[in-house]
Amino acid sequence: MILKLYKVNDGQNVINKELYSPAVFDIQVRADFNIVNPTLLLNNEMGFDIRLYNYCSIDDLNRKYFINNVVAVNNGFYRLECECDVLETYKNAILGSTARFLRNIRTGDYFDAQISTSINKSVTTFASDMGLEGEPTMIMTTIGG
Amino acid sequence: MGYTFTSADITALAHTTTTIDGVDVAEGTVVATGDVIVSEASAGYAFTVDGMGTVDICFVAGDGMGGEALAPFDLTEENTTATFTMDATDYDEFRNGMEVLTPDYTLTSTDLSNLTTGKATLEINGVTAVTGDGIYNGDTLVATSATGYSFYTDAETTTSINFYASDGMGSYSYLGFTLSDGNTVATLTFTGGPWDGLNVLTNEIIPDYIVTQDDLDYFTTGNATLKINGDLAILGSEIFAGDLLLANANSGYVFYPDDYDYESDTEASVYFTGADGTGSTIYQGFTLISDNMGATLTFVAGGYDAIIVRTIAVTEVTGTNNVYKIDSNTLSAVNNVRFVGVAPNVYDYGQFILSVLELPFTVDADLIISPESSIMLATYDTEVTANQVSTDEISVNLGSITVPATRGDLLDFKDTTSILHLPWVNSIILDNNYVIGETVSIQYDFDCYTGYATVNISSTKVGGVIHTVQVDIGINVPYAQEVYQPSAGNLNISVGGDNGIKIPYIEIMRNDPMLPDGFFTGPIIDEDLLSSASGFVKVEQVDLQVDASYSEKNIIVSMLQSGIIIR
Repeated sequence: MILKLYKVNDGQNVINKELYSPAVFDIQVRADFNIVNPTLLLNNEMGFDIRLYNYCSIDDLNRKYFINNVVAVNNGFYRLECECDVLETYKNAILGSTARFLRNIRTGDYFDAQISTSINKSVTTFASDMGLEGEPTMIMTTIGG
Repeated sequence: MGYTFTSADITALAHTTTTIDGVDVAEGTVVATGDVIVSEASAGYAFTVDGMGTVDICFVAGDGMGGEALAPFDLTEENTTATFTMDATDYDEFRNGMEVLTPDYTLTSTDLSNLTTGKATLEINGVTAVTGDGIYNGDTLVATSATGYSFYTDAETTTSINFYASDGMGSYSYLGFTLSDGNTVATLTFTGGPWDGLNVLTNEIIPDYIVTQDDLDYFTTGNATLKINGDLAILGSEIFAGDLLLANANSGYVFYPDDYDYESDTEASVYFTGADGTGSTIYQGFTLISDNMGATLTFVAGGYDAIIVRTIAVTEVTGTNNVYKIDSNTLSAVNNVRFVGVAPNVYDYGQFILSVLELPFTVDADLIISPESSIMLATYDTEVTANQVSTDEISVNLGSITVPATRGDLLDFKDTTSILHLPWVNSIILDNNYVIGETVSIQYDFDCYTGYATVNISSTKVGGVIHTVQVDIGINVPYAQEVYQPSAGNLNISVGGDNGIKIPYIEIMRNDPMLPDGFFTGPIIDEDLLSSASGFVKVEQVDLQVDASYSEKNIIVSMLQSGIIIR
């Protein structure tokens, strides 16, 4: 079974995490393998610094995992204590689900939303391109002949 | 059956125009039985015939005995057109032979010099001619005179551009071009000859009339403008016979009605004038259009030396009333002459003064009628002069104000107040919908009798007026009345006081939002696929369709409700 280790900086609550520095291992799993919170035994023949990896995936299971703990066993063997990342594992289904949610303002949003505002008012002025111009004009109106 | 033209065949037909039933022949064109091929030699070329009288343009097929059988085209007498009707033979080859003909005329350097000095250029079949170019019968020649010049006609030579030939005994024959476009273009289908040379003679085009400074001054003082073929006339503008002239009276003026008498020169509106050389004056009048606001003329040459323009101001004053633009000196002068008679039988014509107001702006010059006229108090002519105003309701455009919607979302409107500040008018709070992202326009319509102004405020939101205010703006100027008491003065200032504003402006007051673009602010409630969102999203309800375990679903829902970040 192919195990891919990754490094991840994103938090647990992020969908579409950015995975980088992949390292690939062929592993054997025990019969009582826990698919949700597995403990994996890894033979680090290639000499990777396993402690730098905090994320992994097993494509055969279509699952992605957080690595919660790395324990060096002996002679290059490491035990990885993992926890399923449900957001990434079920990402497509989650993003394809209809939901009622709160989000940030987008262009074109004109709902009357509750937004905290400053007590102070800002003032902006926009002047006309024309006005009452010139000196006053005196006029006389009369009844004509 | 028939034949298919090859690339080599097309090359062999290079100096021809070859068609089948009107369609140009090209590589791959198939000639079927019954098709008629017509090949016309280009100018200067002809199809060849060998010494045995065999036409070289032909199709070739085997004769069944190892030799070849030729199927020649039919040629015209001059060997310039070849025709062939395809028969049922399956031809193997096409052949063609052509020769360069001796030109019927060869342009000499003298001819080109004549063209240059004659201020003209020549094209032969669309190509600019140079020395040595051959001209063949049937060629199309087009000569064009230089700007400002035209060919002139000559009774002896037919036209001023022609080919000529001498008979050696002092007589000449000519082949003249046909003139067009005001004699600036000469066209000829070449024929005949031999010719000895090319004559080219042009004349400088003299305008039939040139606009003078006096003309322009006349239009200026006459409150009108002149266009020649659509272009505004300027000093030195040239007018030729056939030019379309359009005179427009300025705003507030019209040309006199077209009922004048040219001979007595009375009531004339707009016309050319000049002397006929016998002591008489000649005229050419414009035709008045558009309720006398315009006048047109297709100019006919005739020795004119001036343009006369006269307009009258159009007044839109109620009844027989008059509106005058005055100053304090004028008012004093009127007061000095308004009392007529000897005490105790003094009559005060001042009772016919309806109002004297000071408007807080300069009345548009277009509304001022010149020259000054005598101020009339009923039938009494005060002989005090002043300019009349053409209307008793003066409209003043105070422009427009565009307020941009800077964000394009609700924050442009949230906790926002739009206040319009106008000259002489109390501030007006406008609905934001008429202001934000729209253009607000303002117009004042002043009543010259009362000084009241109707202020109309329009918005592009509705394309019309959204608010109207009436305000008393004109300051009454005191003047003595018949009973020797001043009229009420400045009573209206409390209604519409001078607030010091000359130019309208809109004040946008806004309680600015805190963290309007904060990553975790999320004030907008939405219902959609989660894929439509990005950034921080906090889910209230979700229809989660996922094949996860029950506990995993609970975890997912819990995380969504706590808030997730979708990148």
